[in-house]
Amino acid sequence: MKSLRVRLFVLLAAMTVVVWSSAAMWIYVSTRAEVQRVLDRRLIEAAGMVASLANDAEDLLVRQPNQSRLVPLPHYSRQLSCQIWTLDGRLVGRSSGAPSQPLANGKSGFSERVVGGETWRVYTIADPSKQIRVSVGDNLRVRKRLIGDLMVGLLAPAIAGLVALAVLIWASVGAGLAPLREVALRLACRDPEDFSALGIEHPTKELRPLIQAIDSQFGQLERARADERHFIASAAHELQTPLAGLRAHADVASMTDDPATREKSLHSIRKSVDRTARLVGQLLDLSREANGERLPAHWVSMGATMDSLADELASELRRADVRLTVAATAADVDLHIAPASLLLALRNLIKNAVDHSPPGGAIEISAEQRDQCVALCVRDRGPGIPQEELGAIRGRFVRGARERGPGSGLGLSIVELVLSQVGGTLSLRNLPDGGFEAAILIHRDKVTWSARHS
Amino acid sequence: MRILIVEDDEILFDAIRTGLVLEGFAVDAVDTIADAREAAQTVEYDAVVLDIALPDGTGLELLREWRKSGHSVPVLLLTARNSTSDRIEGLDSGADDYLGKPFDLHELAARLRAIARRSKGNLSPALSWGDYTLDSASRELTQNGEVVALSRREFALLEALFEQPGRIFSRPQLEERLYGWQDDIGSNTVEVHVHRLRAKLGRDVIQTVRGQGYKVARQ
Repeated sequence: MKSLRVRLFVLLAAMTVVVWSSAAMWIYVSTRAEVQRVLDRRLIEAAGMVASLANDAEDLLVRQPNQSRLVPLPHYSRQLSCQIWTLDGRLVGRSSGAPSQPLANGKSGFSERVVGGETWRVYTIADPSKQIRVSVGDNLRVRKRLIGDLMVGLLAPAIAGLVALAVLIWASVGAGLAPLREVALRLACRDPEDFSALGIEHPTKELRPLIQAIDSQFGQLERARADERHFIASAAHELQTPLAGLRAHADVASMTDDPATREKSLHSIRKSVDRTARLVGQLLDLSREANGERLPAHWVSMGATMDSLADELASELRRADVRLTVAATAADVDLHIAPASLLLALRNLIKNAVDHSPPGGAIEISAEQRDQCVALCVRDRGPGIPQEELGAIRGRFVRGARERGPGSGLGLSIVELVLSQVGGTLSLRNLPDGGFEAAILIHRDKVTWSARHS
Repeated sequence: MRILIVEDDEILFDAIRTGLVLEGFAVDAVDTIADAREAAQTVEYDAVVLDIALPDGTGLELLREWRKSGHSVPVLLLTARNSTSDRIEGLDSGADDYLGKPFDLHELAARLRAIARRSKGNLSPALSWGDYTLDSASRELTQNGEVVALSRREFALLEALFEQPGRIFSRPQLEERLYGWQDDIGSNTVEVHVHRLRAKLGRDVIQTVRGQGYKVARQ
């Protein structure tokens, strides 16, 4: 059924009709039994009364020889018929309207008999001392009409009541559903961009979970939208700045007559282009990872992965004058992971380490057991990150306050996102004797390690 | 004209500094709010180029702080967030002008000259004194239409004096205006520039106020 209101109305109305019909049935049955009992009682009383008032059979026969006559029984004439017979079977008196054929077959007590097309219920009483038998009968058609009239009298107000109830039920269901209608109205009227709470002050108990669920969904949507807006604004900002640098250096190069200044500007333009390209690449990585396409995992050798990364980053490492070493512990590790995810995470961590390494510095990749996990550590000998910034540094576009390098602040968030999809975590700490360590923690079930290190 | 640049992006920072020096400004550059606050306390700048997103806060905070404490240095906000509401917020925070990234260096220089000029109460971009007209935009000094060739520093020195005729500038004040921190003052002292200017313009334009400094006469 399409409308909740119609559904409730039909249910309530059907139930009311069923209950009322049953009640009417009950009333009909019990009323009929009671009416029969009362009328039977009346027959008994009437018969007794007639018998006690009647004269002896002899007297009756003398006064009205051989023929029946009207016995003055005015009160009963309409409904009751009365016959007085002698015990030997002669009719000595009858009420007006009573048939002349016998109403009963002569036995005492109740009997029913069809006389002249009408069914009679008769009570017969014999008085041996007076030699008479009195039969008093009710016409059953009359009895039925009486019961029928009673039932009509009962049913007519009941039906009127049902109609009134139907109207009241319809209105009450409407009023009862008003809070629901309010929720629907607010949802329908709201701006598609509006993610604020519904603002229903005192929700009914039944609607509260619904309203809470809607409000919390809206809250999540709003947060997601705010995150997205922040991300887009930050991405735009991060792109605008190197673009502004490019533009300004191009201006400088065209303004200056000094070859050294021009050469410096051209160098900066090259740096700016590299940096913009790296940022665009990271944005693409991030959007690819955020789209959540799960890559199939299989067993990957850490040694082979590091070899390919070292090749890929060779010129960058040479330019920064940084050495990359892979400890034997790390080279022997095999991981159950999507190869592209591992590459992406390690590449970002190593590039970060390169950015923060002093010239002549070294980056070491190693592996060690930590609790239930195996940690793949990327350690540099740079200045580290101030302790108070460690918490925030994973956020998107967050860079350290002292940060002046080419990074965009996206690297660590990419690593975190990648790791969250392969069930790993990122752990960051400053090393006690200087330098910084970024560690990828992978559960040991997903790692095999040659026996000599474990 | 001495300018403070507050910008944390190394490449952009470098470009603005180089470009503005080429445009004849004396430029100081810092990359944090803390450094900018300190710089503005020690040097009287003609204008500040302020980036909004900085590592230790937003440029708007610094701007509001300055305006609240009555610091009226002209400020040009530089930002990647270039929507109308961002511009309104920036201008309402007390900025004198607003430039979205990326921008043209010539435009940045022109806007800086304009806000610096307005803050000194000069409406015309050309300063005149006697027969002389000094055009900050084209960086030319003319005497009755004839161009007088000046070096960058000579121009800047004369510009300072012409902006406020009658005001006496001490030697350190002029130095402050002519040289950024990174400039090597060396032997090119204010006296040398004044000497050369007098050789070009005659002795009666720049007057020496003994024990105090230099001025051009109020007209």
